[in-house]
Formats: sequence, structure tokens, C-alpha cells
Amino acid sequence: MRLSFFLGEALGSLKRNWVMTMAAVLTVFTSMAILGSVLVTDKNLNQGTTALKNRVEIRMFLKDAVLGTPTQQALETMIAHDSQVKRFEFVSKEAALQWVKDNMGSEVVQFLNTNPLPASYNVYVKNAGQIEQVATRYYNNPAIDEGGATADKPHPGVTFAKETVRKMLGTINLIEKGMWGITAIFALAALLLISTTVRLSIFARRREIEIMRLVGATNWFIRWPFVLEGFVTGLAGSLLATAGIWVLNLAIVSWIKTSGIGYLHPVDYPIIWGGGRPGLLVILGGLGAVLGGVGGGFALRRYLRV
Amino acid sequence: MIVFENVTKIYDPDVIGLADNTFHIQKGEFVFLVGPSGSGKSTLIRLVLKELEPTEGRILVAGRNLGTLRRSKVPLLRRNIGCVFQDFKLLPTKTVYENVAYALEVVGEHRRAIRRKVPEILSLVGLGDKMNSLPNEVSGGEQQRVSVARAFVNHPPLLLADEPTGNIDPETSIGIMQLLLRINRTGTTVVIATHDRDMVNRMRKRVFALDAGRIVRDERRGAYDEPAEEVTDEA
Repeated sequence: MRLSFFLGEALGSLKRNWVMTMAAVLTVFTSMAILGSVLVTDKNLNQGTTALKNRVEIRMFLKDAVLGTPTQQALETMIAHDSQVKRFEFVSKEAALQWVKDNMGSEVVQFLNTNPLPASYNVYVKNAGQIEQVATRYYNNPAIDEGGATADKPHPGVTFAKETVRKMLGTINLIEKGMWGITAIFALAALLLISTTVRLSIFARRREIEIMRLVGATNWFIRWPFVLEGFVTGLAGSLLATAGIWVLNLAIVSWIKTSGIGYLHPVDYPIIWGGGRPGLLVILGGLGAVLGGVGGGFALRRYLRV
Repeated sequence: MIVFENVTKIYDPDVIGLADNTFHIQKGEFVFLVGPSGSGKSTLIRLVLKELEPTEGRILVAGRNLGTLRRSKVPLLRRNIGCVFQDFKLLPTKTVYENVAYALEVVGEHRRAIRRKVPEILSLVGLGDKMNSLPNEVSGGEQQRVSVARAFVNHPPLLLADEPTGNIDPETSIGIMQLLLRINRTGTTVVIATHDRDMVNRMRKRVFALDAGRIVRDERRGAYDEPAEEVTDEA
């Protein structure tokens, strides 16, 4: 293959039809930018979900009377050996009081002469979905203070954000599915747009193609410049999109980190390679270039029938 | 060089292009196809190029049966046939030089050979000084000479011309015809479809007269019109 000849043909034609080229590059840019945003958002959403899931905890309030007794020891052993528990921490009465002082102001507790706050275990489960199952196991444990039980809240000694967790996970799930749905639609739109753009450019040059065939050019001889043209167009559009997404990603991440929701741990999407997975440049650039090349080659088909 | 055996071409729905023609054109011959518009001249040429398939009959070009020629081999067939058209069919975005060079790029000619052959053939057709012009920057006659140069740069054994002088003035036409004659002298078979009565009468070459898709006259050293109705035109 005479690459330099084909490349020269492709670049020359891109330059001559620069309006068309711009249109095609912008098309690819738009599609790839959308795809890129979805990738980045999805990754961050995953990260955010994980971060939120990690914050889901069960609180078990202890009777003051069992503190330091074998009963408390038995509960702690049970938690420590629970296979669904990731980690747990003990919050003493003093620590609880300190937390109240720190978070609500010392005025709130300054007139108390005894510490009314119970000690507690904060238990983090491995899978947020199983939180209820885990919590149930500790109902009616002798160390837990079940005082003040009502019909609505039969187990006030073991609390967890049941409804909140369920709704949150459900919403995140829905958002994730929706995003991939949108991605699929836009990927399809991108394919059609690229193919249409190339077809328009070919339609404008069908006379040239006819002449090439009359001079005895083989189909691949005619096709290569168009494939390269699509390839270059796709690559240019995706590179622009990558640059745009990357800058936007950086901006948003730094904004999130400095605002109140930093616990979501936003991440920069890797550019070339990261964590064993291809980065933005590789995914978008590769996809754009391949889509362009394939689109260019395919769109020619009907003009190459002998 | 070209053999037609009972070749019929019917266009959809039932327009007759060619009706049951049989003829042989020998290697090195110079043949005029004459006849009114729609008589089948262009159909004949396009059949030889395998741009069209005959409805019936067999066509051999340089010993190859076009009916059994695989689609992928069609470009190879065309590389052995030079083509000149009424509308020149030059690539508008390429210079005169690049247009001729394209025919050589297609066959995979070496860059160095291209740099040697293209100026050679362009100066042969008298366009040595217009190599870097675009087709629309030169006159019709010059464009046609570019097209002849492109058709002949590969030295094909066969050259087809469909109304090569149809769009250019009589003076320039003579130049084009002389060019085609010179090409014929190198051994290339030349087949020209034309309306150019003066030219055919002056050259006295083999003439096929077509009418309604049928070859009605095949004369060795023929004229445009049948000998019986002697040439009486004022033009």
C-alpha cells in the first residue's frame, strides 16, 4: 500500500472540503463529548455510591448497666465475628458527650451533672443492601437498651437508616441505568451522523469516483483515501472531545473537593491508562478513529458496484 | 482485439441499446462508430468497458471473455483500455499533471517512473507548459488532450473514445484526431464513436454505421454516409 499517496489524497480532500470537514469533526466532537461525559459521570457516580455505602452504619445503644460486664463483652465478640460486618467502633459515653459538645455547642450540655448519653457500637456492614438482615440479628440482645419501644419503633436500641438507604440505592441504580441508556442512544446517533456526513462528502464527489473507476482503480485504491479521511476526521473530533472533557472533569472535581460534598471522593478519569483500564484518550480517540474509518469505507459501498 | 458475438443489450424496461450484433475488430485497427444519437454507439463502448452487461451474446476483449470476467478483475481490464470522453472526465481538483499521474498511481507505478512518464506524454500532446494548471483553467481542446494523455500514458493496447471532439471546435478537433492517429500508429487499437462527419470523411478508416442498435454498414475505408447518397452537406 502506498500510504503516502493515500494520505496525501485524504489530507488534500479534507483541506479542499474544509467546511464539510469542520461539520464532520464537530459531529464527532459532540458525540464523543457526550459519551465521554457519561463515562466520567458514571465513574464518579460509582465512586460516590461506594463512598455513601461505606457511610451506612448500624448504631447499637448499650444499657449503662452492662458497660464493662461480660454481657457487653459477649455483644462485642458477636459483632467482631459477624461475617457481614466490615468494621465497627465503640463509642463510649464520654466520646458521645464530646461529639455533642463539638457538634452542637457546649451550652447544650453544660448544665447536665450526669452524662445521659448511652455508649454505642457503630457497625459498618460490608454490603449496604444487607443492613436490615444484620441489624435484625442484634434485636433483643441483652446488652442493648431497648427502653422506650413503641409499635412504630419496636427496637429503638438498634437503629439504621433503613428507608434512606433503600431509596438512595434505588435512585443511584436508576440513574446508572438511565445514563447507559442515554449513552447507547448517543452512540447510535454518532454512528448515523458520521456515516451521513461521509456519505454527503462522497455524494459530492461521486463523479470523481466514477472517473477513478474508469481509469482502472481497484475498489480499495479508491476506498483507502476515504477511510483515512474518516479516520483523521474521527480522530480530530475525539481528541477535541477528550481535551474538553478532561478540562471539565478537572474543574468539576476541584469544585466538588472544595465544596461541602467532598466525601463523595470525585476522581479524575485517567487520560491514557489507569487502574488496568484504558483512559479517556484511548477510549474516545480509538472509538472516534475506528468509527470514522469504518464509516468512510462503508459509505462508499454503493458507489463501488461495478 | 474486440469480438462481439450476437450481442444484444436491452435497457429496462424494453429500450433497445444494441440488437444482435456480431463483428471483429483486429489488433491495430482504427475504427469509427457513426450513427444518430441513440443508435447504440455509447452502449457499444460501455459494453467493452464492462460498465454494462449484455442482455445476450458474448464479448471478448483481448481474448478475455467479459461474461466470465470476475468483478474484481474489472479494474485490470480497464487499465488495458484507454478512455476518452466527450466531457473529458478529468478530476477537477487535480492538476493536469496529477490527472495523468493518477492513471499511473492506479497501476502501482513507481514514483520515479511517474515523474519521468507524465511530463513526457504531456509534452507529446503539447501541454508541457500547463502541467500545474487545473482542468478548468485550460481550454476545452487542452482538457481533451489531457484526457488523451491520461488514456495513453499506460500504453494500453486498446483506446476507446466516445465523441472526443463533440465539445471542441473543428480546428482543435483536427489536432485531437491527429493525436489519436499517432497513437494508433504505435500499434494501439483505436475505436472512436463520433458525429464528426468531416473527420470521418477525411480520414477514410474503417466505419461501422449504427442505426437503432444494429450495425447497418461495415466499410473498410468508409465515409460518414452511405456511398449511395453522396456527401452533399454545406457545413
